[in-house]
Order: sequence, then C-alpha cells, then structure tokens
Amino acid sequence: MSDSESRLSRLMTMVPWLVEHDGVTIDEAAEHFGISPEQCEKDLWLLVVCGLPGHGPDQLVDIQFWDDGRIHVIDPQTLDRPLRLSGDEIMSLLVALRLLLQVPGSHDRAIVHRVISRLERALGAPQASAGVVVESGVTAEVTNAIESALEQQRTLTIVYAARTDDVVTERVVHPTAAVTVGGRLYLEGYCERAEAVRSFRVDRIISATLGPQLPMPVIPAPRPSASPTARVRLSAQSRWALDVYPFALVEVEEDGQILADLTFQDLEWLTRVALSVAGEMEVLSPDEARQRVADAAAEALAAYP
Amino acid sequence: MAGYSTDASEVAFERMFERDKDALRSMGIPVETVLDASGDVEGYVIPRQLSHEELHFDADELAVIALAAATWQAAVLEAPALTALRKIETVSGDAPELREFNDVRMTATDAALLPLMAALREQRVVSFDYRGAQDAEPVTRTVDPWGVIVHDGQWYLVGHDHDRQARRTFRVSRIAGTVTVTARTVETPRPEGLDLAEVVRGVAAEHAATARVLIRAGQGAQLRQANDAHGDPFQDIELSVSAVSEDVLVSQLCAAGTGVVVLGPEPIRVRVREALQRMAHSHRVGM
Repeated sequence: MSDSESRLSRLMTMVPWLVEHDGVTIDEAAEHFGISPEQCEKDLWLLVVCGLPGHGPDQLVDIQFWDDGRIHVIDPQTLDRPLRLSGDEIMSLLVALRLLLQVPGSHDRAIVHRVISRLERALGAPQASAGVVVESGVTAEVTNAIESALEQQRTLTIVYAARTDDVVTERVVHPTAAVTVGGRLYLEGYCERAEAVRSFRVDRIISATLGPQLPMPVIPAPRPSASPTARVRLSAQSRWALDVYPFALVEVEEDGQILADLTFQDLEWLTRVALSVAGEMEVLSPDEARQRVADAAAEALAAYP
Repeated sequence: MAGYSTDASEVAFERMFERDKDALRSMGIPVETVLDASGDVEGYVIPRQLSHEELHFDADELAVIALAAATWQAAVLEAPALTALRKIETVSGDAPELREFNDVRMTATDAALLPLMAALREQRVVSFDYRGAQDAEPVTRTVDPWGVIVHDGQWYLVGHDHDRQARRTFRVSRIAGTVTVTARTVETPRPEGLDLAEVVRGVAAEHAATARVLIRAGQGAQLRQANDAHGDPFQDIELSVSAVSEDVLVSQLCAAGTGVVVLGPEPIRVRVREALQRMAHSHRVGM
C-alpha cells in the first residue's frame, strides 16, 4: 500500500471514530491513530474539503477543531460509518492470531480460534487464508507445560537440543517469562545446570515436564562476557553462509573468496559454524579458534579410519 | 483530481482510473459501476455501507484482536493490522488497554509481503527479481503463489515456478526490488493437501538427500531434532537423516562433528570425510 493509500485509509477510518469520541483533543486523536499532532491537523484540514460532487458548503464534511483544540464532527456526510476490513488488514491480523495460537500466554485459544474463523469468512478467499502459514516449530505439549509452570510458579525439567555445542541436555529451569522476538519463541529462566539465567529456544525443547513449586533461587549477577571476533575466509561457492550466520562482510577478494568477521560468545558455536561450511571456510584468527577447529575436525575424522 | 495529469490521453486516464479503483477496492472500499439505459458506463459510485456485522466483536474477541495487532513491530503488516483494529473499535467500542504487553513480537520488514498476499487473494501470477543462495546476480522469476510462510523468524514464498515448471521455495528477503502482481490467473494452483509448513521445513523436499548415520548418546542435537528422532536422546541411535539437498546434508553432517558417524551411502560418507580432512589440514596452527 502506498503512502497516499494508507493515508486515505486512515482518513476514512478517522471520521467514524471522531463521531464516536466527540470532543477529543488533537493530541489524543493523533496518539490513537499513531501519527503526529501536526499530521493529524493536516488530515483534519483535508477532511473538511471532502464531500459529494457539487462542492456546496452543505455537501462538505464539517469538522470543527480550531476553537478549543477539541474535535467536533458537525456533519460527517457519508463518512460516519467505517469501511469494511480490507484484504491486507484481515491477513495482517490472521498471521498474528495464528502465532498467538502457538505461543504460551494467558490468552484464551478458543477465542483466538473463533476470531480467526470469523476473519477467514470476512476475507472470503479460502486459497489466501490457507496460504498464510505460521510455523513456530513448537508442540502444544511443550507450550502447555510452559504455561502451567509460569502460572503455578513450578520448575520445568526440559530436554534441550542446544545448537551452541549440538548436545542434548536435561536441565531444571525456574521459568520467569515466555517471550517471542521476531517470531521466535524463547523461554527465560534460571537454569540450575548453568547456575545462571538463560534463554531457551522453545522449538528446541524436546520435552518439558512440570516439577515442584520451588522458591526462585537467588540469581547471581551475570558475569560480563566478552564477545571476541573471528576473521574468516569463505570460498566463493559458500556465500550462502552469509545469509545463515551473522557475518560482517569485510571484502570480496579478486578470486571471489570472501573475507568476513563473525562475533562469537562461545568457541563451541564458532567451531560448529566452521564445520558446517564443510571445508569451504577457514578461520584466520584468533589462534585459539583455529586450534579448536583443527582439533574438532581431527576428532571427527577418527571415525573414518 | 491530484495525480491525473491534464494532458494525459484518454487511454492513460482510463489506466490511472482503473489503478485507483483497484486501490480503493484493496482498501475495502467497494466501487460499483453505474450503466446508463444503453448499457454504457455512466459513472462509478461508492455505495453507502449498510451492514457492519463483520466489525462487531464481543469484548473477549476485541481483546484478542488488540493483542494480535500489537504483536507487529517495525513491520509492513503493522499499519494494516492497526487500521483494522481502529475500524473494529468504531463499531465494537475501544479495546482494553494492553498492560505492558511486550512478550510477543513478530517482525516482517519485507515490502514484498503485501503484494504477495494480494496475489494470493486474487490468485494471480507474480514476477520478481530473486537472488538465490548461489546466484551472484538477481534473476527474474515468474511464480504461481501458493502461500507465504513464516518459519524460524524468516518469511518464505512457496509456489510453482513457471520457468522451471516445478515447485520452488523462495526466501522473501532475497527478493530484490518490488513484486509485480500480473493480470494473469495462476496456471498451477496449490495441490490439494500440500502442507506448506512441511515444505518450508524441508520435510517434503522433492530432491532430498538421505544418509544412514550413527548418532552418539546425547549428541547430534540438531540432526536428532530435524529428523524426528523419537526415543531416548541420551542413547546411541542409528537413523536415516534427510535434508533438502546433498550440500545441505553434508553441511549438517560435518557440523555434528564427533556426534555423528556417516554409515552410507558411500559418496556422502566420502564428501564428509574429505571436508573434515580439509578443515583439519587448513587449520593446523602455524600454517
């Protein structure tokens, strides 16, 4: 949707709302529609020159807003009713609602289902509503266990498939929150094994079992951790790695090889990254990281005599 | 009217007017054509809307809609979701204030998403410039859109690629520039029963590569999860593992390091061994 279209869409939505909220201030209206007070005033000036063909004064939208800084709609013409929901609007809500079905929280999923089916009917395009999919990778069992643990302040025993060191571990966690950032779900809490607060990707929790109600342990202050940077060289055919890992491109050399930097907190994670590029990436520095990659590759080779 | 040049030819005017009518319809504003007695177009009217039943939601439903609208953050879908909420509020009353709601956040920064969604609604062919993982330069692709899927924080388009005459998955973030929604209706619609989420997870890949592996106790976390390894993760397991392509599979097998041993087939076993040899060799400190 272009800027002018989204402005028109806002203007058409504004009048019915102003009719309902007679006497609001420009600041309040601006906040409600997520625009600046200056933009709101511009919108109001545009509205008062809108109307039906003929352009007589009695055929214009009449809004009074300059006397006391409060907005009064005197004559909304035909704009007093809101428009139907547009396809973009319905689909934006559908995607978010489908995410809400999958994340832990206090919202009632039966209501979410009800709203989804009403919006799907309003959209009237079954191909489109079935074509918008949210795949969070979490199972209902894990989501439910997290919800219960947070509600009842119980511990959770999770079997966690970590990516840092590619190891499966069992951990007792005292959950403090479930958060979704950028569409990815995380469980936050104190981890007894790490003796620190940790974030766990919910889609990497293989199973979660409710434990007893335990008081939240005293959490030690986190140690400030340094994040060193590794300089690496990628071969020309491994540029896919730039999309997959958070590399900072340094330069593309004449032969197409790529110099890049990668910030890492955990040497094991960096080693996994290097191994996953399957011989097409060389860690140039620091030496400690070169040594670890060399060792990891040699250890893995032992299985192929 | 602004945007209509006075010296525009009649044809150009018609085209601009058609475009604006489409824009109005896409905003939810119905435009009706009025014909005169002889059947010629006399004009267009925006009819007054009589029913707003679809905007009536009870308080519980309204709260859920407000929650949904608030999940979008710095996203191209944020504005339409908020406008929808405002429209609903004019009929259903104001939504309750969300108290410090910040624990569900979703992003969608790709401008391509809105035209793709419009194409899905209207079942139209799209074309766009796309830089695939191995492409140095973007290539124009023409696609029947089947669905957009958000998975692991990434948006994907799945559809039928006209030039390749096959199903393809595209990362929306790799689309360069804009998506053109053409006037053509899709040629190959989504097959019945196709699970788009599985396509994106790589489970339903058409050219998947498979290997037989031994995963050691407590290790190979990623391979275990990606291949639905049931059973005790703290035991050794022999498993068939698959990925969308042989390259991706070799990458995953190498990344597992000591956690996995490739049993076969021989070509994949050799590729993994050679990659590990190159790594061990090139990283010897002092070289």
